[in-house]
Amino acid sequence: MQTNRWKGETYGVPYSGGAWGLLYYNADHFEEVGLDSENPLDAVKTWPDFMDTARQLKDVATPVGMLGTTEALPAQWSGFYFTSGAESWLNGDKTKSILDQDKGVATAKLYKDLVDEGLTPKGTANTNGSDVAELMGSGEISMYQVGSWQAAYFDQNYPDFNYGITYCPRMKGGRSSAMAGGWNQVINKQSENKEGARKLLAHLSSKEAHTSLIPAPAGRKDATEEFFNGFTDGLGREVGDIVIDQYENSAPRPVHPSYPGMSTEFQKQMQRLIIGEATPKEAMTKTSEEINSLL
Amino acid sequence: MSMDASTAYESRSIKVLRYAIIAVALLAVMLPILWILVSSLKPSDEIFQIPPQYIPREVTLEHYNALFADTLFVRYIINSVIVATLTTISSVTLAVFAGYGWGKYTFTGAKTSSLFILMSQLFPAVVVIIPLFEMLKWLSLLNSHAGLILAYMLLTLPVTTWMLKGFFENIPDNILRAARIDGLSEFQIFREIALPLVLPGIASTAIYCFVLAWQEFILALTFLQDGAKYTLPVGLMGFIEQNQIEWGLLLAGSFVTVLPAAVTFMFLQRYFIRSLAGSGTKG
Amino acid sequence: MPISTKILTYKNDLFVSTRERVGNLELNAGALFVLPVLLLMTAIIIYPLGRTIWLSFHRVAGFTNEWIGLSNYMQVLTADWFFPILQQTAIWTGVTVAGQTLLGLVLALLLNTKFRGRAFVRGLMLLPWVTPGIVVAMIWSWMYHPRLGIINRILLDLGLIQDSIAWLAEPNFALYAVILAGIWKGFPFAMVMILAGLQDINPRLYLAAKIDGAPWYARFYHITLPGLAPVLKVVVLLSVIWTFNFFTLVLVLTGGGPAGASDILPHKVYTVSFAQFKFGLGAALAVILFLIMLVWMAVYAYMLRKQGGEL
Repeated sequence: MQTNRWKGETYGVPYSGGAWGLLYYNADHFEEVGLDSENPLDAVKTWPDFMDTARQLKDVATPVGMLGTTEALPAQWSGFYFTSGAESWLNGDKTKSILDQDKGVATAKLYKDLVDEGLTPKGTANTNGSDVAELMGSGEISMYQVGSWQAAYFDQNYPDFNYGITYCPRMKGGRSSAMAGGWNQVINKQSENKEGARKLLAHLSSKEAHTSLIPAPAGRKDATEEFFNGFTDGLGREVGDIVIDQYENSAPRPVHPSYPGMSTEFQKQMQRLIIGEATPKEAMTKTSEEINSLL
Repeated sequence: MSMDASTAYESRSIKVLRYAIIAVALLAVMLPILWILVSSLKPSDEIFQIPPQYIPREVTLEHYNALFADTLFVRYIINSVIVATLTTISSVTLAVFAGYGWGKYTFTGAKTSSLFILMSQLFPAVVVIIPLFEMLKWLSLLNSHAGLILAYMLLTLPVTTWMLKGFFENIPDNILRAARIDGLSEFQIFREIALPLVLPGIASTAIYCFVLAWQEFILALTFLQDGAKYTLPVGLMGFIEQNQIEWGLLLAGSFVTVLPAAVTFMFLQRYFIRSLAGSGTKG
Repeated sequence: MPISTKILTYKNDLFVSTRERVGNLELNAGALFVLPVLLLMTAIIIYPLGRTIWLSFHRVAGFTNEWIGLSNYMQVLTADWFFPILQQTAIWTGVTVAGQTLLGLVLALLLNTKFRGRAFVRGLMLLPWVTPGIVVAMIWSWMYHPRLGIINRILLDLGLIQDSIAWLAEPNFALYAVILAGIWKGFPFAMVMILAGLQDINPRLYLAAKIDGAPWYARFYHITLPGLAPVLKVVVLLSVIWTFNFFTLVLVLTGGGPAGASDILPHKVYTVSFAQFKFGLGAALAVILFLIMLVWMAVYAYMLRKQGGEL
């Protein structure tokens, strides 16, 4: 609901939520380099661990799929960012961006290090979610941080793919978290059939509707818990609790009418970072400048 | 066929060279389309094989089946045909009158107004989307093919008018003057004399207009909300979501979009080219 | 020539029918013929045009519009992305049109002879043109893929490159990758127009030249090219207008990236308006785009007039 409020007014009602912050990994690849595919947490718990594992996996396949463009980039990035303990891109009173401080810069540096060491696929600057998913499913990539809906896609299109799900690697000293996003329902002010729309909204907000109609994790907390009860990954492990744990700790991207402008600048600076035109500090500073001008 | 005179004297080796180059050129140009065809016949997991395979190990029609059975694809094709055809009919009809007027008459503001029409083509479609959206809403024509056709007229009229103006300009004035002397009214002259003379021109203008309407995407995407009303380009986009692309369907769909045009053009290109030749589209 | 004399001359030379004098206006049936189109276009165009210009002077936030005068224009002209985008737009338009025209010319010359299956080949060659822009973009984006793309596969097999290249993610290649797709999509138009134009060149000229012993390149330079001049002028004019405004390929292939390396003006208008929702700024950018086009038209018309041609 937090994402629906602006200046004290509620504008919408959550329809489906999602947390972007699960690490999918290729169990077969893990086995090949001698890692425990059933208990992967030690291998990827913190960012340094994550990088080490990636280096090990380099011989088997391209270790990590990171995104470089579209709205998915800020989503994935924020998944990593919020594990640092930060609550938002903005400071407490939402007057300034804090991305140019340590935590933001460190997250950007994570991307840069992965790219510089050749641990990501070629062309990351132009990679979107669909590409990485396909590469992951066909065994080209070993690890990918994304949301819970990806599991269904793998199950359906790559039934032989042995993937596991675990927590998103967290910054050293950080916590388990993710980026919260999702779809909300609003009634257009100018809509003609407000009564009918209101009724539909009420119905769609009920628990039954949320458990039965919505394909992705539902907006209502109680429905979400039910949905993830028994949620298994490709290895048959029950990982529903991981999802819910991360979901509870998750935070959203900035809730602001000018967010799209922020996102565009963010993507641009991250691309500059990836192609080597900017350092993490520079990229985050520039992004913060733009965000501040939009606030 | 101007160059044909010279080919009779072409040596054998030059002929062979010419054909070889044509073959290579054809292959290069068709490569993308051949590639979608080949890819659309592969089963889903083979599509994403690294490295990509030139020849499918297994040929399957599953995507085409899914395309026609599970999606509204057939509906999209019908919609596209309807919209493109009606756009062409209305645009060309209006343009025929206007082209004749600008091509064959002088009146105050003739040059200015014809330039105005031509210049309206310069404005990027992106920018007129929102005002057009508002206008259509005001006319209650949103989410309807009629509204889209109206918008497409905006897109096509400048070109169709200009093309037909060129074709009309090529009619010798004497013929028309003679008809006037014979006492025919302006409209009769237009209908009986001028029109028949530009029939090939009308044909090529119509083809051109149809192609423009057929592939238009942005306006259709913005103005149509009902899935059942989508035209082909919009429908194809439906296979692409933010994090997931239905490649099999997309590939099959793309090929199907291209195929009818290919067949049509193979038969019509002769007329298209012939009518453009010796007519008014030059300078 | 003063206008009055012009009309008198027209009276004798051009087909002009009964006139009615309404004040100082010359009206005749011609005006009636063009009226429907003129009215329709004016109606449909005036509002969007006017509204865009109006918007360009405002800052749009949600439902409120705030007058800020030339502020949007200043913002555009001083933005650090403006000049690179102008440059890239010029490269995009120039190289794509040149490529399309050249390829169209070569293919038209090749296909201008009788051979079996000519209709078939010509028909196939028209396909790129009738393929919707997004379909073209999807196909090429896939062909350019660093791992799954066929272009890399072919280049590797031919030994032309050692390692696959991420064409759309390299700042130095991205724009040119888009240009190649643009050339592929647009060349059939040039080809068809030139094919038509070739048929109008008098074959006797070639015969005479051959008898005089002129080699093929002399025949080409002195007969074919001048003969094609009118067609080429039209092709270039139209191609520039369309290519300049055509941003679908950039939208789908690179999104303007990486980091704006392949961004072009119309695409920027789109992202500013529909991704950042800064409609005022987008409108200002669109007006600037329009003005650039007007300048181009004026320059082009001037150059043509100097050579004795006409629009």
